[in-house]
Amino acid sequence: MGFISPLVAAIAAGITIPALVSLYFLKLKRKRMVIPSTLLWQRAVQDLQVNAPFQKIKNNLLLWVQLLLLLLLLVAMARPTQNAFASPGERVVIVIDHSASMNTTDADGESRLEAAKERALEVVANLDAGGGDQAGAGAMVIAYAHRTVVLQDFTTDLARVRSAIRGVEATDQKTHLDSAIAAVEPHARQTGGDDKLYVHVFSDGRVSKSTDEPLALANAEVRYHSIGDSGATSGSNLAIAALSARRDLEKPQLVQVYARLANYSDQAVTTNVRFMADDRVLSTQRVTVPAVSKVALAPGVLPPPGETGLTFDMTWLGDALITISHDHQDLLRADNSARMLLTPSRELRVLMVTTGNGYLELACQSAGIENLVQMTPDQFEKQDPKRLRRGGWDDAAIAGASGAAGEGFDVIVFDRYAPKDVPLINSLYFGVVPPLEGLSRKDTRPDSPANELITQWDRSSELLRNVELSDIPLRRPGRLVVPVDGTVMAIGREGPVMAEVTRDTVRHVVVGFDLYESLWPHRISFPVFIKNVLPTLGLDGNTQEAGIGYHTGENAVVLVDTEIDALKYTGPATIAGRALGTTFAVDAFPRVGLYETKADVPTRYKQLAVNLLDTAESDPRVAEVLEIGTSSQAQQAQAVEVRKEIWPWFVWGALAVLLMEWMVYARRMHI
Amino acid sequence: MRQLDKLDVMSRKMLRGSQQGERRTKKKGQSVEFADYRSYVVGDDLRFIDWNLYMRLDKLFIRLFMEEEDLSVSIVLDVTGSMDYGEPNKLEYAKKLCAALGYISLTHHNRTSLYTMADGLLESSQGMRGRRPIPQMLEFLNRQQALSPDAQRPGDMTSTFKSLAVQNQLPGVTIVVSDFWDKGDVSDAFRFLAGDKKDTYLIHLLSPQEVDPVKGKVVGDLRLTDLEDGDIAEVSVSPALVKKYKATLQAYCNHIKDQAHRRGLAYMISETDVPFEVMVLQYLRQRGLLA
Repeated sequence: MGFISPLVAAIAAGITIPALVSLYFLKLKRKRMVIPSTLLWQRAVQDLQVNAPFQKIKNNLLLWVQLLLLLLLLVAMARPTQNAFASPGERVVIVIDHSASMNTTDADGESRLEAAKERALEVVANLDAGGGDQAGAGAMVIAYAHRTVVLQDFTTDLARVRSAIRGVEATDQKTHLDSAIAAVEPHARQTGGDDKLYVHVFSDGRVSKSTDEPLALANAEVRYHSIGDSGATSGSNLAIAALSARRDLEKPQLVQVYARLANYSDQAVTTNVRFMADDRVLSTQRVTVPAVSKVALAPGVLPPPGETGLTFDMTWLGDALITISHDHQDLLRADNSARMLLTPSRELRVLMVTTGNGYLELACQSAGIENLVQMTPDQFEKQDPKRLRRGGWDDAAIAGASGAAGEGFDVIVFDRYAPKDVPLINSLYFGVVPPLEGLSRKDTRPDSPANELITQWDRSSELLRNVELSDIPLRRPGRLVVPVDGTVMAIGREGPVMAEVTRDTVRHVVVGFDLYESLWPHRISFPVFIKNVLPTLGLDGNTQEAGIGYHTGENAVVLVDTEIDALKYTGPATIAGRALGTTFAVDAFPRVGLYETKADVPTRYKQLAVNLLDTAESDPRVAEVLEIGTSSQAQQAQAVEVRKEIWPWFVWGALAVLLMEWMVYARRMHI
Repeated sequence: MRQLDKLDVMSRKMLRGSQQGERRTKKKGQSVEFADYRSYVVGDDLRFIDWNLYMRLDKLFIRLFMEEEDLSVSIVLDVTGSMDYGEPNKLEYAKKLCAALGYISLTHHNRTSLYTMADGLLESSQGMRGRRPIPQMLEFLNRQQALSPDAQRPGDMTSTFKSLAVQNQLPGVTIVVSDFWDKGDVSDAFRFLAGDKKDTYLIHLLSPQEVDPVKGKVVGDLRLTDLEDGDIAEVSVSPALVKKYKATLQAYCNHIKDQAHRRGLAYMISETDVPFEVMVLQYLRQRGLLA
């Protein structure tokens, strides 16, 4: 709290307080009255004073009350101001983290999300301290977790802002602050002149690492409000941080389930871990998870949690719902159990549409693709697009994936042939581009040198993992025109030569140049690329993974064989699927748990197991520093002094004291 | 008046008067009330020889009768400033009381004296007897005014009663009507009212406003002035103080009563809101002053 005019108040205090006290020292102007004798009064007064040792204090109660009254008025005169996080007239963006970690219950029994909402409401309360609408003032509310939701666009109607803040719902999703900052960025750009946009981020700072480009917020000041008990390690959290299942390659009925427990407490935790398949408890293990490491891996980084891995072996041929849970009471409940659907064994089936390409065939074989079917473009165009798609794992488990065309495929490779219609299956294209809107290929300019090299590629892409492209001469590779939502994977001298575009949940990986016009097939990187791409596109990268589990915030893609109008999943939340042809994109999962549908969908989509499995979200420790984007500059919330004058409170207080004084006086004098 | 006529001032003692009156005394004398016999000695009035006894016993006995004499009644009225207070006014009430007592006394042929006192004995009207001086008595009482603090000289009750004792040495009844506000030692003062030949009644008059200051609006921050000596007391009258005042008043009254009883004085206390008739016809009769 500060004061605008303390000097005035000090001067007034210097005058009035001694005056008041001296009034008490001076004799009261008493009402004159004659009585028969003062004898008894003098004796009574003497007796009263003699018999009551605290009489002086009692007598001076009025003085104290009046001093308090005077003091309150003097403080009001000093025009006190409150330290607040926002001042009236500011343009404010309220950014509230409602990720899984915000469900952590702190020592006061309140979830961090509730605390964040309260703090946000305080900021809003500061905004209207000045009363009325002020030019340029306003607030917007953004909630972010895996995705960012603008709950309330800029408005001066603070009631709506408050309502939006109160309406922020808890989720079990991961935190991606970048998307929230990206949502703010346009507003920051619009703010010009001397105006500033104040971005108040309410979070515990548990942010999943992002590889996005750093976001600069011009004309914006980010204030980070650290929510949660910074000493929360004592409460601790024991999380299931990983869960996976693999089938034995030789004996698919043998399944090994692996789980990893992370302990964020500063003390080792012993708990029972229960392993269930469907509703049967298969085993219970007593596990001790070590405490948080005492050594941080890097300066400024919290020490990693204590971790313990667990394996459960089981013999199971068909599908099952596998659940792992522990019974330790901790701060966050979302990560106390994890579940996944065990799938029957599965092998990748690839269709290659080509007039003949030995390199590709060889690369597929070296990548271990046993179920490779080749078609000519004419044959391909005669196929029913729906039948080309593989419905689920059931058929593979029963038929053993013998290579019949009717069983469908996981991925299609188009070699120098672009299909007339966009296929419904994840595809890889060489030398052509699929007929996707916004995607095209331009030839190399005639005056350009014939040969060129790939100058830059995305090494972090899972498709280009361990793929070295620097030494591959390309002959007139042309360049790709990639739509806005596409991802450029590699760039040549004139532009992109490799890109990925996702449309209606179907992934299309385009290599813009003809393999025969390059030396890539002669390089070791080519089979590596094929080895990366085909399992990734065909089996989502999990060739051996026998369990299907989703993360919160993720969208599930449901492939349907029959015509259904709508798809709805119920469970911890009710979510709907959006129809995209014969596939449905299910809304992002808000909470962990098992989602079920009654719609006519393949068995593997009847139930969807959703888990948190995120070490950053499970970590109950509060980050005092929040990194915005990849910027290393830490933003720390600091209470800034604002001109939020709170003198009316003191005047009200003085009135209350005045009332009290009157009551004291009346009580003393009423007989 | 008729009711007053039936009353008489009573003494708890048999006191000697100076003239023949209507009151039995210790002295054997001429009256119709037989007292005793004694042997005849030469010189006795032959009229009092009981001849019937002489016939039976052959001895001469003289019949003795109770002597009926008058009673000396002294009424002392307090006219200090403090008496001019209260509703009903204490002085007026006291004057009426003295008038009633004087009337009763005079109608029974008692030797009646009236005194006024303040810082000493002020005025007196002595030696009144019979109905004839009743107007004189009333006139005496009528002209009495309370003394203002300025008009009073230093003095106290002790000196007043001492003066009274000197002036009025006749055996008899002394009635003091006062509020007894005295900052001196009342026990010392009462010493002069006591004596074998004196029967003293103290009538302590208080106004309702003195008994309960709230009735007198003695509330709040006040500068109180003493009506007698002009003394100043600054008080903030609170419920606690009022409670304490009442306790102190009670203690003061008890002190006067105790001191009176120690000296053999009769003590009566009354508030001026007691109707005058009730005071005279019931209260004083019950306490033996009147019969």
